[in-house]
Amino acid sequence: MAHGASSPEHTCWAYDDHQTFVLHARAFLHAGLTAGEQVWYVPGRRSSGVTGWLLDGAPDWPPGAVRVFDPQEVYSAAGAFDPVAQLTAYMAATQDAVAAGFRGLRVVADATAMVRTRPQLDAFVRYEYAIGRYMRTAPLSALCVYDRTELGDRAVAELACVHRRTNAGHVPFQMYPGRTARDTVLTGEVDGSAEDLFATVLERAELHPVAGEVVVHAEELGFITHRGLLALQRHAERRELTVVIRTPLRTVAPMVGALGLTGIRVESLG
Amino acid sequence: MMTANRGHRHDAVCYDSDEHLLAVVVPFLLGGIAAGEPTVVSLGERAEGLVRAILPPGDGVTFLAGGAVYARPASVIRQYRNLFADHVAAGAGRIRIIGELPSTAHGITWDWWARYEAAVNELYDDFPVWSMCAYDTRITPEVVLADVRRTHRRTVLPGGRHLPHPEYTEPAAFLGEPRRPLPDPLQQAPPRADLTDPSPGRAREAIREVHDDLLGREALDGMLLAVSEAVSNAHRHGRGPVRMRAWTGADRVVVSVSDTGAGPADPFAGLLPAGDGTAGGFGLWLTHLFCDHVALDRGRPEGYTIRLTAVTGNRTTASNR
Repeated sequence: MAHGASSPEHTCWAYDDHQTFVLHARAFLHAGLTAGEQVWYVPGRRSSGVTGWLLDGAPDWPPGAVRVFDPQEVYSAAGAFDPVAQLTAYMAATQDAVAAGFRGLRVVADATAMVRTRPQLDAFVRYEYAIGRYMRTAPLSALCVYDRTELGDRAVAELACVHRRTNAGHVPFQMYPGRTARDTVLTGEVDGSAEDLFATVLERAELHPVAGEVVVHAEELGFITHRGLLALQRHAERRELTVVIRTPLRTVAPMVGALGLTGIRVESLG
Repeated sequence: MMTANRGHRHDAVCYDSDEHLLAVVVPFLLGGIAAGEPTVVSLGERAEGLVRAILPPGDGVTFLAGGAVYARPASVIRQYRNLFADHVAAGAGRIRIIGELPSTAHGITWDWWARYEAAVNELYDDFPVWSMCAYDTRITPEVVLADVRRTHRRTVLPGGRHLPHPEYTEPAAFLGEPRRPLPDPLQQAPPRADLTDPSPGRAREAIREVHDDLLGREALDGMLLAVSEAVSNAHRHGRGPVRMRAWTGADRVVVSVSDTGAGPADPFAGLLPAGDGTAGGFGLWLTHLFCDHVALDRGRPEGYTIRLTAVTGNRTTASNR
């Protein structure tokens, strides 16, 4: 499978200011078109300022390079959201784009309407994590757009912290997929203000053990409390696996030892 | 009170000569050997040399390096409780141990060692332990010896005699007294950072800004954890405003976190973990494991202050302390 000219990325864009979003989305889509990718745009209720610009410019690009969707075509309005079906659809779309001669697929999608309730949010964050894993190895990039004025800071934080990049300020940590289903990457800081969020995200990540172990790549983690480690321990106990945490933080191994967290194995770095 | 399988007998040995020390310690150790009791020596290098020279070779006494063992009270307690539990599990009817704090413990950090000496009367009472704590009266300040008399029921003298301490104070009462730690000289200068009501994240950021690469990675990570826990606890359990100040010197970073509340109600706070960690109670204990000194200034009308010190170039990992 050919990879895109630009490095695939999975970015969360939470917006209050519609105009700032429009400028960023245009730049993101333009970069994809320039790189030979197919681009999709799935507008939301307030994020509609890109459609005209995109369609007006479509003749400048190869046939089929620009597609604008009605949100209901992409995210079925009927029934509950199915994360697996959605993931499968984007995988197929990526393969189709490559088969049609594009170097990959690039999507800007406003999914605000998909996460208005707690169950919707839970299902969608699981999907976001899973599609993020696919993006680690496939030529798919996405700018996932959420209207903060509608969703509020907590929901935005839950969404933003499973993306590799985000514009959402005050997201204390990010936990996004590693290269395999066994691996996850943890950056930022897990302190008292983030412990509940961390435990929530950890459950949604659905890591798959290999030889009984999952690996938390915490090479760039700046801080974690013992309660963050207790969340990892509970995860290990519930899933009957060992959490391997790779970190240069000198407090982690002593805390794991002092607290007797037998579900965690620390690989100290540096 | 010691019974067949539990009870901590906690004696002091206040000696003024090598002969005095040996006249108490050697019969104590030989008695342990004769009774088949696990017998542990944790003295400084010189005193250990004196004891080794007198004890018969291959006697089964375990020697622990006193300087390494007595780094931080919370880690000593953890280490000794594990040691005692192992011996009891192996069938020991009683464990004997003689220890001596390094003389550096008699200075600015004495307050937390005094807390240790008081607390272990109770914290080792789950095990059948006879311990002796040696103090060289030629170099030990009187203020320290006064606390020794208040935290040990008796002094053991040569010839098997005992001198009871009428000043002995039950641990909870001793630990609950207002105890003003000695100020760190660095605190005479204006602080490098002075924050009111910081979030834990902002407090960590301030420490990263002022430590000037003074601390190695391990000391810095430990201090960041301690500061974060202190500020979190002040917000969660104390009464505002919360004030955090930091000072730096050639060899250490000192941080104080104050609030206007009364401080932790548990007199043993910080020396042992409380609960299972999910509802609090571990943070202050971890702070005691990761800092080179933790001073609790409580019981004063103006409020509560916790002072944290990290010393550069003085690191062993908390896990093996």
